[in-house]
Amino acid sequence: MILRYPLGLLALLAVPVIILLYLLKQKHEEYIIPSLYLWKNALNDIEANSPWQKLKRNILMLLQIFAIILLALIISEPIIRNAGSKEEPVLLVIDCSLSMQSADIKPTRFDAAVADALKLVDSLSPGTEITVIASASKPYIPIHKAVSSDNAIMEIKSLKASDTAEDIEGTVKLVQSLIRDNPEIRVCWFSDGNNPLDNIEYYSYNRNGNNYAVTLLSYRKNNDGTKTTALSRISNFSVQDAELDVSLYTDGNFYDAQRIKLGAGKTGNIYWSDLPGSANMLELSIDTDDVLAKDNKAGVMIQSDEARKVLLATEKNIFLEKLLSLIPYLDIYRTDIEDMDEFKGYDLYIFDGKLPEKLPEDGHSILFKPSPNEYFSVSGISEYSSIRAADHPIYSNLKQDISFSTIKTDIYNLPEWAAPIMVNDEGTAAFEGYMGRRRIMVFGFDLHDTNLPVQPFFPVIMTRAVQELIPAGSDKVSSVFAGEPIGLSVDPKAKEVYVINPDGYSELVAPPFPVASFEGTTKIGAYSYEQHLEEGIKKQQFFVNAPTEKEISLSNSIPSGLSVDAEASEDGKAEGVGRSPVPGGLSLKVVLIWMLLAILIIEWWVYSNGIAV
Amino acid sequence: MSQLFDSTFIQKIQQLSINARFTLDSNSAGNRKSRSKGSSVEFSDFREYTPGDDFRRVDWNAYGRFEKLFIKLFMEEREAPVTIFVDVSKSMDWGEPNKSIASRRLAAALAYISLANFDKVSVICINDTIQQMCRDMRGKNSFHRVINMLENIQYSGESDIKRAIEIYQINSGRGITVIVSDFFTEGSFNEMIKLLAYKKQAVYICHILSPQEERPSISESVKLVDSETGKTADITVTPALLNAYSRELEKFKNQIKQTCIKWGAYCFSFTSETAFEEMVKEVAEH
Repeated sequence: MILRYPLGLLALLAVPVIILLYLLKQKHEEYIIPSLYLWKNALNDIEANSPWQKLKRNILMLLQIFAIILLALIISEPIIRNAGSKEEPVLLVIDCSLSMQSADIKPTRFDAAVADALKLVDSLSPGTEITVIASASKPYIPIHKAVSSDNAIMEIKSLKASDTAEDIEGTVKLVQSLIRDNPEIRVCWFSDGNNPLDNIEYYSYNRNGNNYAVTLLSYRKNNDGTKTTALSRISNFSVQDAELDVSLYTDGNFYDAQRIKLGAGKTGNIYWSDLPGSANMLELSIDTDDVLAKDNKAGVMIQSDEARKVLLATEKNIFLEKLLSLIPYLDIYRTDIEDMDEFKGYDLYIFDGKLPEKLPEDGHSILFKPSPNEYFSVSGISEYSSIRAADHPIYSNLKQDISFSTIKTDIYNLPEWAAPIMVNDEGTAAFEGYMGRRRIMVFGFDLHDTNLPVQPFFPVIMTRAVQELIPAGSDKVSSVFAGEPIGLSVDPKAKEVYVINPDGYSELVAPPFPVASFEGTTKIGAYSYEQHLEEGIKKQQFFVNAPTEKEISLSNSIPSGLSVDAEASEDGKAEGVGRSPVPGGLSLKVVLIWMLLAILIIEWWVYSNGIAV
Repeated sequence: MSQLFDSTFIQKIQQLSINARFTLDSNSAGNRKSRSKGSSVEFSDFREYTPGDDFRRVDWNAYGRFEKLFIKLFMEEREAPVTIFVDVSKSMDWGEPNKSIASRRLAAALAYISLANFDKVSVICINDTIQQMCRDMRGKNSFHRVINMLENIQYSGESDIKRAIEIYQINSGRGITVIVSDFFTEGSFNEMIKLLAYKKQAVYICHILSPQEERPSISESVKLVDSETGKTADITVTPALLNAYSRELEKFKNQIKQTCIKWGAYCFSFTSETAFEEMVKEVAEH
């Protein structure tokens, strides 16, 4: 048996106080009577009739002392530990991802998991080291090796279920590293997916309640931009077939609704054609109730057709000209450096082989084999080398080997503000980064000196390079999944950049410049994005949608070892189905409270029946 | 006329005195002679002659008719000395209605009846000694002295009736002694009765308690203070204690009654809420 709050025993200090009170006796109010004669005899009579009279005052006192002892124990909360409650350090992993907000376990899976985690902490011996991992898009450790269960309880209570997907791999790595530190650590994992590790206590919270989700919402404009077609994908993650009503909203107004029949675990597409080309925002909503409402909606911002002005300063580069002409939203202006007095008014400047004395201030730049300049330095020249891709977003999702040959390329001393794009064995051949508020992308070779233009990935990586600097549309980002960073294309003239989340909370993103990608996409819904320019405030929006494919489809798989009661899951009444029992110590608190009550009743009985005076 | 003894009170005791038989019992016949000889003899009854009887009282006419000796009995009107002790200790000045009122009215009424019956009446206010007294009064004209004394008496001190009686020294021979008290008294009640019996007194014990003494209304922890001695006792009133008190009260009253029976005294138990005429009727017409 252990005491959860040993300080509660301080209540025993009341025992000497009671004894003292009995010794001092109570001071009574005076009451004048004709004679004490009868009262004295009555008092003597009571004493004479009770052979244990000497003890009778003590009986009340003993009862009161016993009551105080019980009270002290109640405050101290004694717990009889069960077999599972060892004194080894405990690691609690609590899934805080979106799927844990499902209400198939009342009130939610997350609340049930937190309640069980608290119960488990309650049952631990005092002094047990407690570590907690909150597992969401970025697993973190809110409390590490806490000896005080109070602190752990406080931290666990402060956890909130997020709208993001769980980074299960990151969490597993974190857990494994903690296990490596202390192989004796007892891992208790509270989640709704499948047990990711062996030799851990896995508590599952999943009744596979009916859940439907919008897994995709995208659009395509026709050639003249007058009409838009929306494509939506709806998934039924439940174990029953479903017929769902799906509504589409354009710019916040209801546009159309369709009904779709989906088998259990199936996905279906709904097309919405001939939407007005003027629509800027599409929102989709599944109107059928399910256990998780947040994934029933999705939104996307339609990128405008506003053309981006690009100045291509080159003597002749057919590859670049052809490539840029393939990007639909670009207005290409070709010039020669010598022909230009001032570079101003373009969104992107591409300097091929030449460089003005001063780089333009109002736009980003791409430089091909630039002449020596004040901005960065060349460390050497590499000839007949193979250039390969560095780790950079422009290569994302490209699975083939990115490499090409070059006759000659400059090798650069990588500036502090830059990240490499292409490297060879001798160093960095291409890099990019923010120089102040301008973003510059530098390639150390002339395209004509390489076989890059004939590589199949050339148009892809060059298009992405351009999109990195000037994203499609008028700097609009469309939508991301919750928890994923979003790259914000910031106008070089912007003084301040704010992102306002769906709750109305405004976050200053910049300064400092350059703007790193915005990572606060933790809430599902429409975000505002404000750039404060000299000429005014430029407002845009983007959507953060539920990470359905990554999160919901994973979490709604049936955990091993659990039976699924589909009917019970529908109304959530069948407690215990889909919820693993959490071992805890047996608290004696309730028993002690009943005992205290019994003592108080006995004391009252003793008093009222005159067994004691 | 005060509120204690108002005109209604006087009217009532005048009415009561007509029916009162507050006299010495018949066994005393022949032992005390009336001072108004010859005119005060009233025939009462016959009984058979027994040796030792005054043969002068033999009814010879009856002997002639029945050939048996009969004695003529007479109701003798005589002057009986009536002594009324009224307890004026502090304990008697308590209760609602106050015991002092009930006790003084009873004493005054008995005094009036005795005076009306041409007895020699003494009213003595006592606590542990004699506080005030009106001694050897005769005739109703003396009644105002009793009234004056009882109206103005101060209740104080402890009660010791035996001692007060000893101080008074009853030397009148056979007579009637009435004691009105709550009998929360020092000294032995038994010894007191014994003393009065020795003094050849027909003793009338009027035991008066207040309703609050009969049924205490204390319901919490209190410090009881004795009104006479100032002594205290801390008690927490419980049903058990109240039961014990009731037992003690009954025991106390029974002891008084038993002692009275033992010594041939009359015992009357009243509460202060009993109407005085009822008390008087009970005492005077027993």
